[in-house]
Amino acid sequence: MKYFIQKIATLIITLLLVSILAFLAFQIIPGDVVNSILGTEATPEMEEALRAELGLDKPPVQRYLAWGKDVLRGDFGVSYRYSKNMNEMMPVKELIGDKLPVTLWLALLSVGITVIVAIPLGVLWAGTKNKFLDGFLNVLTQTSMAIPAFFLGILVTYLFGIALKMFAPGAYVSYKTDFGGFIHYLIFPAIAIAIPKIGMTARFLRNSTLTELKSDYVRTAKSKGVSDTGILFKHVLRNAMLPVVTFLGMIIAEVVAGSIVVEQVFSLPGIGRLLISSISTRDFPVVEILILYITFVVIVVYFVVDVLYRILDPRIRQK
Amino acid sequence: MKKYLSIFFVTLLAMTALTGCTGSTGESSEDNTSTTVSTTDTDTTQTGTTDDTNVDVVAPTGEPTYGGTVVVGIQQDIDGLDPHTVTAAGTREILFNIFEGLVKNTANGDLMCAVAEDYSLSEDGLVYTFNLRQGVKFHNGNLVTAEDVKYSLERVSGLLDGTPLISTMKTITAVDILDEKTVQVTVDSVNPELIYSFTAAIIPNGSGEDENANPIGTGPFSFVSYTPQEGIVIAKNADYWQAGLPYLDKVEFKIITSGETALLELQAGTVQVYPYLADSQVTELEGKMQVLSAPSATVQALFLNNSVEPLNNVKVRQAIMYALDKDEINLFVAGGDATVISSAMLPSLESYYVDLNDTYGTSANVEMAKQLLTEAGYPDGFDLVISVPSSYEVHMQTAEVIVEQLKAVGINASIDAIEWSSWLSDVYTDRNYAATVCALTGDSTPGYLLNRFTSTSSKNFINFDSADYDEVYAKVVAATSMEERGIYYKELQKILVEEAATGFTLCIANKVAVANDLGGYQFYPVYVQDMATVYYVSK
Repeated sequence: MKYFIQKIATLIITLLLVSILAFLAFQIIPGDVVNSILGTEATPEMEEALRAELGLDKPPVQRYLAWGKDVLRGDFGVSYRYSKNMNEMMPVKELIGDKLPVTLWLALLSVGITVIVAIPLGVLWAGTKNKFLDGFLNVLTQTSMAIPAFFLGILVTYLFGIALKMFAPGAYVSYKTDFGGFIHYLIFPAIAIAIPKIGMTARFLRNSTLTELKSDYVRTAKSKGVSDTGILFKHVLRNAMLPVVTFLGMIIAEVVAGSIVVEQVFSLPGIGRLLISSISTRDFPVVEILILYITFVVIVVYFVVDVLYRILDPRIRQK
Repeated sequence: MKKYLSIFFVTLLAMTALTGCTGSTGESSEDNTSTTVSTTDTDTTQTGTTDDTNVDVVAPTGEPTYGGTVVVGIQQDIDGLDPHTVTAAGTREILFNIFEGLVKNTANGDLMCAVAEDYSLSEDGLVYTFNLRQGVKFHNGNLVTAEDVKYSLERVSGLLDGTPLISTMKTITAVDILDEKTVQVTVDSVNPELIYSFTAAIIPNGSGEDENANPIGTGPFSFVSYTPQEGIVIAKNADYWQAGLPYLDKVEFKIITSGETALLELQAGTVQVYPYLADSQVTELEGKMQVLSAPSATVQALFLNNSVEPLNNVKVRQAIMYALDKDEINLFVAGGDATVISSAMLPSLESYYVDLNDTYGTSANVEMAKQLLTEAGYPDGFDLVISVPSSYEVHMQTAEVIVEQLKAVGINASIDAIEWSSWLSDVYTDRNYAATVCALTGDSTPGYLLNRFTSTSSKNFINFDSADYDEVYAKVVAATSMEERGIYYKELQKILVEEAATGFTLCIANKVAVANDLGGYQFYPVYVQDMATVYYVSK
């Protein structure tokens, strides 16, 4: 119980610090939202009017406190930049709420593909005595990690979209109109995200399996007459998976925060693209909530990994 | 050994991956034989480059048909839906399809009557009388009334709440309804260019304050939906007053932020129209779809801050003018398809444009530049930082060429790549810079680009300060006819060049990729994507 309270306290303090840092960063970086909205057509009167309308004429501390108070009450404010119609600005909640499912589904699919492919691949790799297969997998995984995400996205689009015609590039459909079509389209960006992750995870699993195979308990098991596969699946894998779980946690935290590059290449309206465009237009209410969301996700995922560790390894539990 | 072998393979693979990448994007700057199908009658200044190798790509000749959906790729998100408050050129060019003013722009740079059927101007130039066109309907089905016109004009001129939304409309002092089809507008000073401002959208009476109002106008298309970061959808206005228009049932403006993605989607056929192609994209698309071209409504320049050392010395600025090789810039960044300019006027506005390219020549004159630098007291040159908004590839490329050209005359130039928001605040608003490469977007008002160079203008971000210029500009304001203004506009352009206010470089061609089965795409001298005339050809 004490453990949980500790974790939650850390979460709250981190969120608070991150929100202050993000706010400070926005005060320091050049350019503000008024310039960004009005562009080169701005006149000083227009700037002043807009600044007053957005409440930017008030001192920074006062603005931060007002914002914080609203957020605690569950009011995330409205975007400075995106309008809903002629008279209303888009509420941040609605804006992010619309994009979040895209990123979450993409994350789920890419992590799913990673786990399904990487774990058998890693085990197969660790167990193989075939020198050629070993070398081949080595080159393959290295390559998958070396290709830049942007180029990989284009490769996947060319291969599956233009050559094999398995999907129409850019023909993204919203999850609201056609969920099947939505998932179908997402599979391809998910593959683009998953490829380097598969490479990394498989290598990781192979190495940790090989290390475990050298342990004393393996020799003991062997001398007791347990078969090779038995040793691998019953004993070694359970231990070898431990570092892989941490690694998968990192991957999940990364993709749930939005895959900026892949979202760009596949024209996906997700969190990553929203973050980039909101930063460049200085849309503070949107950026602040997105950063808090990402922080929250990272902390929670790590917490879950921590708990999983305790379940997988009783030794940690006892400490 | 095995380890080295695998490293070798990895490197090999990575290398093929990288060359594959450049193969699909680059290798364009040398190829200036683009197949351009010129469709506009205003592009007389353009060197018509036709190439026999791609004769299969021609404008479709079939009959126009009705119906169908077109997806137009756009590069940036829109900044709002209120036609009176949006400022981004990229937004206004879309809203042109939804909203109309009493008058509207035409493809040849003139105005045509839209919500008004005709108008007249009083002898003293202070009273405009608009006769409304009968039977023009808003997208909500209601007929446009004099009340709606009065409301719209009062909203933009600030008569409604004190804040003018369109600065030129400040001059309006009264909007009176004479009868149900006649509206009279009184202004406080004569301005022959004010009529261009009556392109301001007519919206339903009171709609600006209506809580749940959706954008409602009288244009050929009505608003359907807008999703941030995805785009905007518009549908055919069946009641449109211009008979026979529009052809299409639906148009989707889809935001595609990456040029590579745009190319893929064009080739896959999920996007049918994509404007503002980069030169490298043109090379890629040639032979696959129509690439149309016309001069754009922007003037690009190496802007110089006239109030910082040593650029406050006119000889130094003139030396820079001589150092610039505009032909080389044109070839490098626009494949030779841009129009070389020397002052702040769109070449397409023929009645007002004066060709001043001979003053400093369009190629570099290193001798003259060095001589002027010596005269100015900088025989060994000086350091010059050029701040460039990094998101604009064409400006970055231009800056790179200019840096080399300036180095040739001894000016040690360097590029400071900055974010667009930083550019807006540091360079444009605070004027805290030495030089920058950027472009100004023109407007249908002929003098639009010139008014910012008066010494007191808030838009004068180059700090140009010339008593001559201010004096001639005062004459412009006082002039009551466009002919008279045209004479002064030419004088203003000359002063900008003589004083070497700033290094105007190019009016870059706007190249648009259009699917092979589409016809009727029109270029405008202003920022407009007019979808009303676009149609699918019959097979």
